[in-house]
Amino acid sequence: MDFIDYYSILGVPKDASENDIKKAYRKLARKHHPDLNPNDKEAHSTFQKINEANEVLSDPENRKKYDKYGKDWKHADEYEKAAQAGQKQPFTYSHARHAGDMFEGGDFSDFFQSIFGAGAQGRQYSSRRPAGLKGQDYKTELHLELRDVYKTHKRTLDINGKKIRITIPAGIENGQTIKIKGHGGPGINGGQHGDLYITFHILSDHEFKRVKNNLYKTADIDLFTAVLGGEILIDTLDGKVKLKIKPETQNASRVKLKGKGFPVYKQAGKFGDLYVTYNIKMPIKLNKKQKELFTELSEIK
Amino acid sequence: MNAGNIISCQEFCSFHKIESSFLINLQEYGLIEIQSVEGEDYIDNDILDDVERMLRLHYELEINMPGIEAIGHMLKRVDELQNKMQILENRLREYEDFSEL
Repeated sequence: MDFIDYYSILGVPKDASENDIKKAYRKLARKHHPDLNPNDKEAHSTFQKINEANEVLSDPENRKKYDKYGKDWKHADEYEKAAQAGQKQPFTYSHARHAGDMFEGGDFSDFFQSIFGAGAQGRQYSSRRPAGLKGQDYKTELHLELRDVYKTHKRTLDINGKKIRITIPAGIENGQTIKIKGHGGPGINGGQHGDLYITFHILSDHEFKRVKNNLYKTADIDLFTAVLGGEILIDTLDGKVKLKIKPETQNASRVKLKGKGFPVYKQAGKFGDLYVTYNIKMPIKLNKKQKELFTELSEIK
Repeated sequence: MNAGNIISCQEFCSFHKIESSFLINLQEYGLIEIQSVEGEDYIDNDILDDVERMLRLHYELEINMPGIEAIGHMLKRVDELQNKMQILENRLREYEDFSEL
């Protein structure tokens, strides 16, 4: 755990007046405030630090305690031991709220908690709301493989310690956000629950490339099959498929397999197409006999 | 009247410890709609997040009404641009994926 210099975070000298601190905080907050930087994790974490610094320095009691602690920082080990003995329970807001996301005073540093205790958190801003109100919206991210979203499936998520089971529709796109109604924070005094917003990040697949609902892949065929024609077996996301290779197939030529592509989002039974590009493998390490035959072949006009 | 869908302005203001003129100001700037039911003012639950955002901008960052209005437009624009960027990122990824093929 490192010492945090709250004065340098706010860019004020150690003897700064209350007013200087307030001004410095406001100036930085206007730049990094989450409300002004939607979906910007870096700005959010910077703001957390600024907010924490302000929480300490703007309160005379906290500031006094911090100044004293800062001086004794060489005894940090003892503080840490004491903190461990107290078994601090880290505050987790890993799944940030929607809209005023990551706005809560939560996620204060270990350093902060070691001075002020785990229970000491910043002001809760507007996280509590009056009676009869809709609960907070939650926001989270889910990273999935391309193959995971080929089929509609159910998945259990852990949202702020609560397990919920959701259905992930096939064909979801990278970056797409879906709203799960009623799975946000609890409503207060009969108010509706907030909603849960999940943004999907779909990883690229090494074998199948996806362009909207179509899939693309390459298939190797040997020279002889390409020249004389034949059959090959290829993998699709729907299982193996036998492909007829026409005689005199050219390298890099492409065939379309209708309906073997990716499922169309929320249109059950509808699929894109799969495009297979042939990659002709040239024979290598030819033996004497093969070389002779190739020579003979090349001389026939 | 569905208590789950609207919240009284008075209750909202006393909870957040702000004067009721704040919501009236927002309405005058056309930033929110206030409904009147049997002589009492209410705001829609759906705009709660927006109103609380404007409240934070005003009270924590000392941004005045014209500023809040301008920021509202900018945030809408940021949202549109972020969506557009996502679409472009996906398209770019298609090209990058193909260069690997």
